[in-house]
Amino acid sequence: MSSRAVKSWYLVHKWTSLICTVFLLMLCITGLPLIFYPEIEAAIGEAAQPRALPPGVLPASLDRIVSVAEAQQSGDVVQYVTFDEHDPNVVYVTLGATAAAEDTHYYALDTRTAEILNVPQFADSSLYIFYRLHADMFAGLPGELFLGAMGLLFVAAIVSGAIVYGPFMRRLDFGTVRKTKTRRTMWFDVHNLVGIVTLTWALVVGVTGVLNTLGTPILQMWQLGQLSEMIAPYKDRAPPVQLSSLATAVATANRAAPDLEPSFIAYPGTLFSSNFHYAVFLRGKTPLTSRLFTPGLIDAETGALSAMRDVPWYVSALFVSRPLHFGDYGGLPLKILWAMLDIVTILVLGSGVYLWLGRRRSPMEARLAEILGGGASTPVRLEER
Amino acid sequence: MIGFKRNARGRLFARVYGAPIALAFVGLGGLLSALFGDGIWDVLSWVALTLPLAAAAWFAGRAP
Repeated sequence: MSSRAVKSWYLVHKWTSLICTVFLLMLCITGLPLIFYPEIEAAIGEAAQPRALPPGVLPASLDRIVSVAEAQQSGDVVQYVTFDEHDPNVVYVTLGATAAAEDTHYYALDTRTAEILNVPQFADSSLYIFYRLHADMFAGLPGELFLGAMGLLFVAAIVSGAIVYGPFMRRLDFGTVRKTKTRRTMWFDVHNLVGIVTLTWALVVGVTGVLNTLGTPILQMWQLGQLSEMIAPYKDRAPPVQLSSLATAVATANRAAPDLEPSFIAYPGTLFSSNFHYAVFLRGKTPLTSRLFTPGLIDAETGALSAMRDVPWYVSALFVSRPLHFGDYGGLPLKILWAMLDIVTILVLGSGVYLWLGRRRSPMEARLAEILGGGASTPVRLEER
Repeated sequence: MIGFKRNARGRLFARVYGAPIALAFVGLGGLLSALFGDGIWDVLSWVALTLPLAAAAWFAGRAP
């Protein structure tokens, strides 16, 4: 690589890192408790705790479960019914003044007894503040997209960092940490070593994080595209007066795809359905396919299956990017590794800032000499090699 | 790099990037394996993702 190229890549690394570091530090810190979301929720008593019942108790009908939730808030309508990902005995029913109302309230119910279980609303839960800071900094879609841009800079910083790693390391063995020289030299080596070994993880979590920030536009694209195509034949029909049975609708959808299981149901008129359908979202049973959804549209008047299609690739990409960002697909040990890699990334970010602060006043040439000299303290000109 | 013959350059690249590329593939394997299944696939991913961390800890911790 020519010294001009090295200089350019060094500048890319420096500026992309500088711009995104503060936000990345915030994301690493707020992300840490979010890795253990269900564990923390359970530990502080905010998770739904269904009663211990002898095994073999038959589940209550979904219709009964929904009517129990509806009775809590008479006049309101059901928007979504969501099965708990971790606990098969828990189901959530979300209600609003209308099907499209943004102001909603949900109830957790025991799937066997249809009893209401005590859970806080998301906005009242302890981890809510961490979640909002991490997802959108309380700024909605603009906040999400801004953090997505920071994520893109982070990815650029990783790539350019890996490129300047080469010239810097050409005189050093892999893993060299010089502890006998200056403190700065030691941190430089640590920054390089830890940065390069965690590169894959940081890249994957960075890229999937960026994809997640695009969740809202991606789902809107799907609604405007495939979903509106699926409901086109029903365009001019009046919304159903009397809703057919939800339990039957779910069973009908599941019969069309027996290898899948229901994940959530969107009621007619909500964002995820048409005005006349239950949209039953089914998912697979392996760690990968359980993240992919297949919607079945059930006519909410007759209870018949209208259409079932796999979601387009870009929606699948969004769904698959979630576990790869959250680290929640390989048991508790994977979460612990995720946390350790997160902490180590904080170390790389922090040492990067330390190195920049220490060198800020020295001329550009001295900084480049450090890289071009292969980590030697005296500058070596490329032409001599 | 100026003054280097092609094979010498290749050797230098391998010396500098050999270990990082190997660790990157191990890490990628670890990230993907738990997606494909449970049980042994999870264990594989735990081992593969421990390796880069262990390598960093070992190199940073050894005596100068």
